[in-house]
Amino acid sequence: MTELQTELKQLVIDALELEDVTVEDIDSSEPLFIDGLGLDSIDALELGLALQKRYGIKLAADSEETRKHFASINSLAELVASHQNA
Amino acid sequence: MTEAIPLERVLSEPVSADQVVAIGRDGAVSRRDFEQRVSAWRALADQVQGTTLGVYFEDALEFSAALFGLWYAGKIALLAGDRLPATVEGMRDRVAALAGDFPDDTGLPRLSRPESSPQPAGSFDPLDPHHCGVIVLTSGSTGDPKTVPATLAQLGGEVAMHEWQWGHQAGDSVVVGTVSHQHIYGLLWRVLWPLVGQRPFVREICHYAEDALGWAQQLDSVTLITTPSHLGRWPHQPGERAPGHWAQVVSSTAPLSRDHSAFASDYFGTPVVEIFGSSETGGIAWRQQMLDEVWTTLEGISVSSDEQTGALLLDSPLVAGDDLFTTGDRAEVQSPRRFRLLGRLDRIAKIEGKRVSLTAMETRLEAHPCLDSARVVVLQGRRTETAVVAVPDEAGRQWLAKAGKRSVVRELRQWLSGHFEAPVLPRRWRLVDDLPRNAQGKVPQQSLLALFEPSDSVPAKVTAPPRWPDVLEQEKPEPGQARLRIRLPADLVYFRGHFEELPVLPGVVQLHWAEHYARLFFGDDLPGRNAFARLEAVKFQELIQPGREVSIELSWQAEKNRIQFRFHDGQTPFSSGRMVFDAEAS
Repeated sequence: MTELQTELKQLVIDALELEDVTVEDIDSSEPLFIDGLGLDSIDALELGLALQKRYGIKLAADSEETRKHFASINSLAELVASHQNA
Repeated sequence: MTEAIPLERVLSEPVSADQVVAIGRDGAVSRRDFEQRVSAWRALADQVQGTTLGVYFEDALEFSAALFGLWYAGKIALLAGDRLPATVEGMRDRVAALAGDFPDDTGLPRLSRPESSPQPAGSFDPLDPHHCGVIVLTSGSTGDPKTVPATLAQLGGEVAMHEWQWGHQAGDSVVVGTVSHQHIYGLLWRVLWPLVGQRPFVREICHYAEDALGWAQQLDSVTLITTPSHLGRWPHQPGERAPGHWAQVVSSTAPLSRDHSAFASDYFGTPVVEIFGSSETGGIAWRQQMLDEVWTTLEGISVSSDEQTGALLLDSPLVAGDDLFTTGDRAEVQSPRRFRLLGRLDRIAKIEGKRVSLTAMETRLEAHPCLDSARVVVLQGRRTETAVVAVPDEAGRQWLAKAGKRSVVRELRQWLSGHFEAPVLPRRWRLVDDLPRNAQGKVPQQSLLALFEPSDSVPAKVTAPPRWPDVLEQEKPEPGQARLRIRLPADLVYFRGHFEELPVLPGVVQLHWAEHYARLFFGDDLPGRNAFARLEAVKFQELIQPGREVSIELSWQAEKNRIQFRFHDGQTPFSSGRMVFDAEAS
């Protein structure tokens, strides 16, 4: 688990005020929405805000692109990494 | 059974002076005694300047006497369900005095048990039916107390209805109750209805099932006034029948589950009559669920439903005013006298723009094979969300101990997901042993919400999981011997990841604890840690799981330089062995 992945997991937990979930509980490759962590459309909005605040990334909520990036911690990490390298 | 008497004429009708009004642990109270108590209370109440008195009694007979005494003195009784300081404080501005079992230090004048005059009470006139007899102090759905006044005509009208409908069934049985007469349900059913129907009532409240069973064994026939809270928790063996003759069982304050209704009908050998009503309206309807799940209105009451909200509307001679009374319940009205309840109106929540019936969510949760009961509340934080307080049943508790909260919650969410949209699914869960209930058996909203207060969850976040068991008992029966009784917290750090599906206490931790506690008990005698030589005859037999209580027996055998340890729970051996030290090294 890279540092960025750990950081993102903590961000997800904090931003969405998830209960009974620790960094260890989140699998980097498991889906964040519906099946895995069971997040919903409102969480996607919250998460978008948190990413913007922390990393300055702007995402169009509910767009195809967002859905792709929000698929898992891994894909979020890719998004943040590419943004930071850019 | 003798003829029913209108409430305002209970004391003015000529009745045999030997008729039994009430029965208590100290024996029966005759009509003669009762009239004397009423007279004594009347004389006392006459001396009070104001009109309204706060009334609280443990004893239903003394309560009834005070109530009639107050009425004959032209006074109004303000009834609260308890006498907690906050309740007395809430009464302060509304009453001139207190009557009954209140503390001495309230600062209000207090009337308590007047002496009965040895003279017969003399005759009583009929009371004025338009006199406001009681004001019930009740908690509103928002939690603020509300006052609900009722005239003698309203109270009397309602009990006359009960007598007309069920008087023949109750016959001359004695009325026992698990509810307080300080609330409207108990007032009507435990006290006023027996007085009007001329059947005795038991003075003391039956706090436990055993109390009511005791009366049933002593008396020829009893009628039980109770609640779903009691019927749902009635101790019994499968197929058992209650001793004694139960003329009738009445349940109110909440709908009884079908299972509990079936149990009670079999167990008591009589159908359970459920009454649907409220403090504001009194009784509205009744049903015998095993015959018919649909509610039928009480005589003289008709219903309709609000087209817009689905609210049950009431046309009742017993509710003040000409307008229809709007209840807080949704109903499917089948005819002016028959309806199905669809849940509380105020239990429709809007979660992030989506409507959800909290009642429907509770019903779905309660249908889960591992849950006994569930309550759903709405929390307003960063987002509006639903949260669940649920009580797992035996299977659920085992499942929880085995799989852990996260996995259980995930499945319960899954269980709901087919029925509710994702944004309304509960995000916070409290799996508890019992719902937080008040003395009336109700589950106050505040108590549920308190379970989600930040103070509750923040420490859980920052506090590291425990590394040690809870020590329940410990003793050192003789030198070199020690016994401990411990409980393993479900969140013990060693259960984490060991194993995901079946958390068990690792063997190495048991060895570690054995040494730790041996050093605590026999500290000075034991060689130092570096003198540890070897383990002998170590056996791990049964697995120790979260929540389990375990005994540890330790002995220090100085001559052999070893600690003997044994983890067990009576017949169940978990582990045992010896820890040998090197005598030279110490």
